[in-house]
Amino acid sequence: MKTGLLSNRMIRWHLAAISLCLCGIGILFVHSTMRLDGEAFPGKVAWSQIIKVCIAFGGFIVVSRVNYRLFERKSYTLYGLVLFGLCILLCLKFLRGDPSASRWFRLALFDVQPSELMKLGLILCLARYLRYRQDQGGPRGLLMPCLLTAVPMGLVILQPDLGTALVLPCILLAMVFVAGAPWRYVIAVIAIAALSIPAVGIFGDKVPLLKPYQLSRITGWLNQDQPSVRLREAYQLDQSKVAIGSGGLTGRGYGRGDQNVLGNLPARHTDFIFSVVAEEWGFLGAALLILLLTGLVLLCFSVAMNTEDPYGKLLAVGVGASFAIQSYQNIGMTMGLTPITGLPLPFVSYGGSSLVSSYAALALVARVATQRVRVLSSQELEPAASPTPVPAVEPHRAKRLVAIWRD
Amino acid sequence: MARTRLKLLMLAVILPALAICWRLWSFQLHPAAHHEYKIRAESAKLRTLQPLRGSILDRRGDVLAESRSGFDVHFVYSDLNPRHIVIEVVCEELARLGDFPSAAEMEAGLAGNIDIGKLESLLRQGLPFKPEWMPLATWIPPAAAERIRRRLGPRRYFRDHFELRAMEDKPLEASQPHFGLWFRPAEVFRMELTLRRLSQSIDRYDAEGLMHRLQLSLQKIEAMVARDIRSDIQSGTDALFTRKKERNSRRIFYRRGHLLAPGISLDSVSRIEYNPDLFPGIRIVDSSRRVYPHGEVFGALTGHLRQLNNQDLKTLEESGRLLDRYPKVSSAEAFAVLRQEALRPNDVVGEGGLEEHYDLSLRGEYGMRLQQVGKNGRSGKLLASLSSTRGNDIHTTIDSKLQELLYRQLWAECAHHGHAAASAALMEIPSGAILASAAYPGYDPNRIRDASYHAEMNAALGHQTSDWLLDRPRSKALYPGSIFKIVTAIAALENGADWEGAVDPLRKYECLVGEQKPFSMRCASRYGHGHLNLYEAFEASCNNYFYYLAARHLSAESFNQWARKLGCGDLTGIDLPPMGGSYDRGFLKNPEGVKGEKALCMYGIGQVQVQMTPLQALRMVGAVATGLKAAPRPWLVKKKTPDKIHTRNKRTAAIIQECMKRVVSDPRGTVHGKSGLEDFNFAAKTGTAQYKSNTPRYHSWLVGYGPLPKPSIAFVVVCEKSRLQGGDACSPIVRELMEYLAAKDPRFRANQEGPANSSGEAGGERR
Repeated sequence: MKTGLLSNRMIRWHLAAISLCLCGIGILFVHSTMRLDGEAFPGKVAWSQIIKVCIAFGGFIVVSRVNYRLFERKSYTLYGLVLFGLCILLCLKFLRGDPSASRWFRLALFDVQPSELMKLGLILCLARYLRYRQDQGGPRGLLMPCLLTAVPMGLVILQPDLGTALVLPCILLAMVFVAGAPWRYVIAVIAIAALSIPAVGIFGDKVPLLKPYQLSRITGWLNQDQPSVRLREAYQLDQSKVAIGSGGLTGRGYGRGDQNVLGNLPARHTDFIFSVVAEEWGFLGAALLILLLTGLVLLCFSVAMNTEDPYGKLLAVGVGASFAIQSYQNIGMTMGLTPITGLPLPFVSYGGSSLVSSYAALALVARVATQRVRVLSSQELEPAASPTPVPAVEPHRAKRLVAIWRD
Repeated sequence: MARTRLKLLMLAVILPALAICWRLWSFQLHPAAHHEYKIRAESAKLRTLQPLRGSILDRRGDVLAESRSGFDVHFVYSDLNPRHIVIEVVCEELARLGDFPSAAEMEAGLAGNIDIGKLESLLRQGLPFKPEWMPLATWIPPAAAERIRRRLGPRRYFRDHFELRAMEDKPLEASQPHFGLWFRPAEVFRMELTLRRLSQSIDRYDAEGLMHRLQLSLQKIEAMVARDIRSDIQSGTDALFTRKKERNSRRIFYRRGHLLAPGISLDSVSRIEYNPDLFPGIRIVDSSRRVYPHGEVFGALTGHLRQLNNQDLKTLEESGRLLDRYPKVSSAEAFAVLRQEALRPNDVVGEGGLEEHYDLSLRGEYGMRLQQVGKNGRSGKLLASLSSTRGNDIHTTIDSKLQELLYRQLWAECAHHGHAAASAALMEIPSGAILASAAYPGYDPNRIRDASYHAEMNAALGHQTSDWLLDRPRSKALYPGSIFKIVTAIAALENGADWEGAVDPLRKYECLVGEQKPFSMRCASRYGHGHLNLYEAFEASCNNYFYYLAARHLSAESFNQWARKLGCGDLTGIDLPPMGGSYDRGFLKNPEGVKGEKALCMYGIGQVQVQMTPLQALRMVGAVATGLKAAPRPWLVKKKTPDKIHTRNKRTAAIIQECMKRVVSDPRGTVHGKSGLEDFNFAAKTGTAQYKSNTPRYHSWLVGYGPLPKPSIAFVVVCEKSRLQGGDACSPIVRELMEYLAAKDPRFRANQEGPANSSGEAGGERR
């Protein structure tokens, strides 16, 4: 195993440190956005976020102590459970006849958002499915992963939660790509996705299942520079752009951003927290945030590169991809690069469900990084010519993975 | 292969990060973009501060109109009546199950169950209200109850004051026990109790009145909500989306303050502010009100205020004087330029009277506060401010006591003798300053904006006069009748073709009984006046004499010339807004239109060919009082220069003055012996004008000036559609007037100057 700054041994510390930095920035800006007049630093909302970070980080430590083989074995079960949860949520919604979005199970102490867990469930499941498969070259081999993704995606769209639903195919794409899908499919999928957004803008009213507010967000994004659209459909986007643009190089000072203080920016402690960072800390702060997030994603990918276990590799790729797509989508939407969807910024936005599921995913990557894995070649699996007779290994089991437990 | 692909994937992650950084750069570090966004972020809202309007004062400084900053009561519906949310949710949940009542029906049923008065008296005594819990809805199925609990459970108001209870017996067809929703009346009827307490603190409204006003406000809110979602309904937007928007819009309006009771007293304010806990959802808001302390007495003279109408808005917009709600200026200096003569769309301007004529001066100038204000009303930095300037006060020449006296007297006379209307005006000679200008019926400018006031006045005055909004002394043109004989006599003395190029005042004509040759017209006197010269004819107001004068000695041109010189058919020039049309100008027939002797005869006695407003009559008599040197122009605030008059015959003025003096002092004069007016030292002329043939009702005039020999005051009194003739109708009013004037200036008493008929240079000429 390599040693060095980017070795898998060190990377888990890097992951923890970067995630904690992000959480720290998150707590600071949750306080900046939600503080009452004259409230000292950890205000009521900031405290609540601190507690959530503590719980999530506790979860991180616990999960990173568990052998991820356990998750590997139970991948389909976990996926099935989350899928079941999604179905139940949807059934409840339709039984209740409630037309508004229902994304949470309201439990006694806290709320659970199954679609957040679904990201993790899908990563585990796809990694399990794809790990030794050689048939990604053909459409038949890709059919099953696509189905595995499409079913939860459909359920999430019905909730409706478009943002999370769009993360799932991106995870699929990244994992299938690493698992060896042919280039032409990958490029075709990306092209279709890129073309679909203007198409929705044009034929939006004919698309089934698309809610008016979702459509208005897309049309607002497409025409974001028209003054009439600025005030209606693209209001949030416009306010966010004003916040970011007014930041300048060094920002307007912590807690002194006009858009933040005056409350012009909607959802500024959750979806638009990046705008507040860019307003109050300026280009430098925003670039730091982007650097940290990109670093986190790249670390996940380097874990994937360093590990030899295909399951772990796919797991790290999936987690990295999900962080990447969430971060870029969230940051891009605040600047008008992408349409507005309700996606939180991982580790930074206020909210427990996202934090816990992000830390759980990160814990898996950390575990993949630390767990020593050797994949034995078929020669190694041949019975060695040893004085003591070794029980013969059946040929169909020869390619089975053997893991050596380090701890 | 996987390694290469991972590297590509890493590249695919780095590239968007770079794109985002580039975008960030273009926003934050590109100077123009950064500047624009910074300006937008710092952009503050400019609130304009309403100036206080100047006062209108009389000559002693008494207030005729002033703006008082007062207090209005506003309500915030969400705080006043929090139960509406509970009821809305309960109704919504029940409606899903079938045919259940609407929120309004449930409210009505709720109110029908409870006696608020009793509830309030019990609460005031500190007694617990029995029953403490009452049912709002019964037989709620378990599923609905569960949903209600889930939706409302987090609300503290619901948790504290409502309770879902399992009913002991269930309906026959139901398999599960049902629920009832119970509530605590004492808290749930917060709105009703608050309004009752409020009505006890504000004397002007009772609880029902306040509730009615509240309902009207709620109707207005519903109209505004409907307007908000109208475009969505028209464009066929998703019903769910529209309903959500409607709910949000209503919620926003319910959280705002709306006017409940305007103009409450300081006493009420202190009562409400002292115990804010007793008045949840009630706010006191500063406001300014225009107050006219004298009410109807000065109504037409001061005018009133009205909202800007569409025409005004258009004019203002074209001239660039319409101030936006949030004008786009960034400094106090820029606003100082913008605010000149500027108005806001919901402003008021003066209408009629001094309020309109001196509107610009009275108005004052807006102030402003440029402050950062967030979306939800959070306020930030104050960037600039400019205080508003109060409007100028207007000092008029009016004597409010005299005006009050005149108004009361006019009112009393109209009530007693059944005149349709009456007006009176006084002017200083020779300056032309108006001392009083009163008319009955007048209107109360304090109430002019109430629709009910108009209905009330129309009902009360409908059979007499419909133009009670008119400023009668200025704008009500009437046939002058015999007071026009002043013009006839002057014209005859100046232009007549008889004696030294003029009429000999001592030349006699005969007045017989009944219809008389050569003009086939009759005198007002039943028995005829016999032979009379000008003095005798004038004092007895003999029509026959003036027929001769008009038809034999005068042409229509000379009538017209002198009538114009004395101010007939022309604006008086008073500093009040002209009414337009023939209102203020009166009417004077073109000389070409006056054909034949009969028409000239009618001209001579002030019928048919001429109409005058009381102020025009005042100008005419004022000119006589100055010795026909000038026709004074009446004014109230800014002095006007009188129009010079040139007379050919130097004795004309003296003759006319003597004639008018004899009307009072000579026993044959039409004023002599009426209400004891001969006790006063003044000159006068009466007039009785028919306004419709064969009607026993007249416009009765009395014009005059005093004290003699150096007059300082001219006056006019006119009773419209009176049953009495000139002297009889007007003399009681003039008597009061003279008493008042004599109390100030003893020269108005006849005995101060000795016997009145012994003075005057023309006295000896009587034959």
